[in-house]
Amino acid sequence: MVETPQFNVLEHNLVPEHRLLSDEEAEAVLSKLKVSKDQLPKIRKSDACIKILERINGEIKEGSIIQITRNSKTAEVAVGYRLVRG
Amino acid sequence: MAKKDFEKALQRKGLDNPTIVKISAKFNKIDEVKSATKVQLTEAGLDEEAIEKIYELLGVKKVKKVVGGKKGSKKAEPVEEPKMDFKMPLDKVKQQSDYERKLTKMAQDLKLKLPRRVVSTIASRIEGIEVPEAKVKAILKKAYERYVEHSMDANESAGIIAAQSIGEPGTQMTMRTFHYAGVAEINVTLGLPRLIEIVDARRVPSTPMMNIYLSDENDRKDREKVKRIASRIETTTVGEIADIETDMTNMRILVKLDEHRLEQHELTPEEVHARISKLRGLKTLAELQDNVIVINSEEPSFKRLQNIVDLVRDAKIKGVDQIVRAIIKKTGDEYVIYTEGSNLRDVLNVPEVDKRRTSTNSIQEIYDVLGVEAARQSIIDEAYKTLDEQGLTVDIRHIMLVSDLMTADGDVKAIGRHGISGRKSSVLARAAFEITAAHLLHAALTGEEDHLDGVAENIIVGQPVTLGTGAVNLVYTPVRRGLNND
Repeated sequence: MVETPQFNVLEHNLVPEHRLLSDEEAEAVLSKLKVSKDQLPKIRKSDACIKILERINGEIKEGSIIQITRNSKTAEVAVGYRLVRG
Repeated sequence: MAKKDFEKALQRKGLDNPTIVKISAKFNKIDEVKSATKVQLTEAGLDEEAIEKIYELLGVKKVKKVVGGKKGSKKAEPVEEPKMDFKMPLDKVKQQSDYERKLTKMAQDLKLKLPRRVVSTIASRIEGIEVPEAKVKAILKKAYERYVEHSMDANESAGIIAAQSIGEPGTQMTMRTFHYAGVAEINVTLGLPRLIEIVDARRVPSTPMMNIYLSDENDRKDREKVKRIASRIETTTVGEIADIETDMTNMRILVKLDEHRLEQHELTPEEVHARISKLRGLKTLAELQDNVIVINSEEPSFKRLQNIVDLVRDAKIKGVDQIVRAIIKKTGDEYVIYTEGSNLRDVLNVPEVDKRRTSTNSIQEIYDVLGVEAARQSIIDEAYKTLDEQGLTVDIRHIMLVSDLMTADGDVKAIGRHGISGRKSSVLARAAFEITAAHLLHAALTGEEDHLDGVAENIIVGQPVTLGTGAVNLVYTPVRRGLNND
């Protein structure tokens, strides 16, 4: 059974910002990076962060792209992408 | 039989008993219930509310025969259900200052692609100083030049450099396993064993520990309050708050509760008694007399008596599972709880605990509770900390690469035979790593192909590796000389 998260894990210091990209944005990212979807790093649909994002954005389908904005020690802010997988 | 299973399944879905009875009278399978229309369910004697609940719990998305206005409420319900609304935290990414933004704009106009760190470093140096715009532009240009100079070349073997950069300091690491992490009596594995543990993605670290922060600003400065919370988190067993004596002549056990220790743990004798009564086989045997709990053995056997003693001594009265010990220590101007043993999920559910800063050294636990990205960050932090603690400075980018690789699949994979190295597509690369014969045999049996893309396989066959200059192929088409051209 799906467990209900008791708190917003996105708020935790270890968790960087996750944002669901719209289809157009996803398309733009792929063409900018010149990669295909399966070349991106993955994130599981059952991931704790995806579950919270689903609460905010509604259901997230496999194949959606999540933009992750990390606070990096070297670049200060680094943007990464992950593909939602099953 | 089947009916029982069905009922049980419904129970697992979280339906209450009267509803289950009604459903099982009419249906035999969960799928049947799912596909049932509202009318059918109403016939089974269920009211509107119960039907909605069934649909929700069984995960039926939308009922086909919903009438007009119902749709709206149906949509809102699953979100509202746990009575918690989650918002996107908006303060995660550090905002740029006005001056930094100005510089970024300037760099963009000059078509210079600089990372934010470079811009903010420049900004921190020249902000507030009178610098003419042309000079600032010159600085940015120069910075960009240096930045590009230092960036990695295409086809540079980043992975091998990372491996060497972590491997070499690794040889200097001590084999000394234990170290006190600044906290009295809490042992933490450090050094090489810890590094191996991180890279191997062990489920449970050999010394799990947590740092627990409190959310309330006044609480965290109040030593007594923090102490009380710590004692609530720490697992308390009966053995810790009472002396257990065996009365051989009367064949009974006396649990003498220590008043002072009870008070420390905020327990009453009644609570302890209630807990002991719940133990298996002791339902009616325990009796509370003043501060002594008397347990009579139902059969006159010394063995049974001894069993009861063991059972009672280790019975957990309160606390969070896995947390063996909790110690408080002042860090800065607040008290932090350090624990031996780790249980991130349950500790985060303790109301007073800060849900942002509390963390554990168990990477698998972080992955389970906070997701891959947090695990990635945690691997970087832990590995860097371990190396740094030994006085070894490894550029963080090498560790970031390792961590990225470990979490690229969406879950935490070990580096090694069972993880990344074992999933290489090339047979020769795998054979070169470990269990050579098995890999070659398997490849021969299944007719695997090797495209010789990687480093190891090209070295084995004696070709230049596809890295650096080896990655470039030269194609030369000679100009055909004309006939009348000598």
